[in-house]
Amino acid sequence: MAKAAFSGAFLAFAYTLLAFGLPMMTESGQIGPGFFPRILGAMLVAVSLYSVIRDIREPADDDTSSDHWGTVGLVTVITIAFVAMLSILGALVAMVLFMFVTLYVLNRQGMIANVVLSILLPVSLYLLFDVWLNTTLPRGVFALFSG
Amino acid sequence: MDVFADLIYGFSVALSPVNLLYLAIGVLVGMVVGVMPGLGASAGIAILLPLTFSMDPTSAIVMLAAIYYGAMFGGTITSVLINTPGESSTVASTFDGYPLAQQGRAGPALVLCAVGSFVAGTIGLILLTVLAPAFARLAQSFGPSETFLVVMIGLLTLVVIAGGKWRYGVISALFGFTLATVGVDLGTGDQRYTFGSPELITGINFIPVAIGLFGIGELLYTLHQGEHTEEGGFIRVSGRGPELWPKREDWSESGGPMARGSLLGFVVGIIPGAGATVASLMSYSLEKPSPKRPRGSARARSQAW
Repeated sequence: MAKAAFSGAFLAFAYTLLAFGLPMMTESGQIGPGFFPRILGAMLVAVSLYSVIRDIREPADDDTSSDHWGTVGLVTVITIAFVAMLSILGALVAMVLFMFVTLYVLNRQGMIANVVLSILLPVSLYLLFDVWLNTTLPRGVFALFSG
Repeated sequence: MDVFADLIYGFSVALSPVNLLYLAIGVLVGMVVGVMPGLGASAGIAILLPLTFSMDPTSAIVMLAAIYYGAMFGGTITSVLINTPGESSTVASTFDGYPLAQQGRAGPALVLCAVGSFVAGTIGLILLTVLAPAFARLAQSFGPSETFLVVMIGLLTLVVIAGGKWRYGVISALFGFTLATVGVDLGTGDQRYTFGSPELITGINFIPVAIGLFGIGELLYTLHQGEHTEEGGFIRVSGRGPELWPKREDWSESGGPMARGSLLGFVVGIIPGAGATVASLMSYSLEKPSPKRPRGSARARSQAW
């Protein structure tokens, strides 16, 4: 069933691909921007349909049960929050917070190691990329540590 | 034969102790740079160029070349150890290298990759020195239709890699294509699927996709399997022990793939348009049917010009 869902997801994706009014087929005799997306979308719909039908006909036993779905979901949410906070808090603060929260969720025992690691690693990354190599990491609204 | 006299002179300069020291430093730095995702060989050289301004020009070139070689290998380290390719050319190393690492044989896998890289690089260099004019003429005769066929060869290797259920491989390939259509259409300059976002105008780069699919995917899978609750121990690797060096049968199995991979990589690298990525994937699909571990194949380091 899981694999059928996987294929079905791509069916939906393929529909959106075709439906989004791929701009033009050809204009002034040349290949327009819609040319390849339409072909790709059509092929994707066809193969996804075939895949869903095959998956429903021959159910493969997929054991996707686990005790840790909660943790997986939590870490996913934390990662999304980190990416969202990158431009608000700035890279350094967001990295420290992200590491601390994730390590707190995953490794309750070694809290001292968690704190040290969550300060040490982002700071060294910041020094390496922002200070030494001068590739600017996102600054953040409050402009802490700017310069 | 002036060529050989010049070559001998070049070797005598390159093998002087100072240059050997710069070589060692360059390879080490290059490997560290290659391990970091996003920083490939070219970016690494560009960033480290200012380091060489104060050096003697010959030593600078030796060091930059060493950084390049080290960076090409550095991408393999993360491919083998954490199933996250550092560069697009090291994707093929994840196919066999990561399962080996999971069996506890990461040391031999990395050593074989390093040796394979060295062998392929050396063979490619020798072939280049000897055959360069002939291949240059060949490369000049390549037109758009030949380039298209080369791209098609690269895509058809997907069929081999997909393995059992070909429909998932096809869906994955088509999904990859649709991701690639995001951005500006090269023929007409119109924007596709950017949805008004200026960040998407340049399209979706490979490295974020690699880190998202391989890196974060591996992380979530590890959590799903519950490995974060298991006791971790320290890995002991000794330079003399069997944990690091491959066994004798590993060496004998890898000899053929290394040689074939080197030649294939050289030819594919000379052809304009194809690069190390296509070369390593083609070499993997070449070796895949043989039942024994085709590790050496993933190191078809083409001299991708």
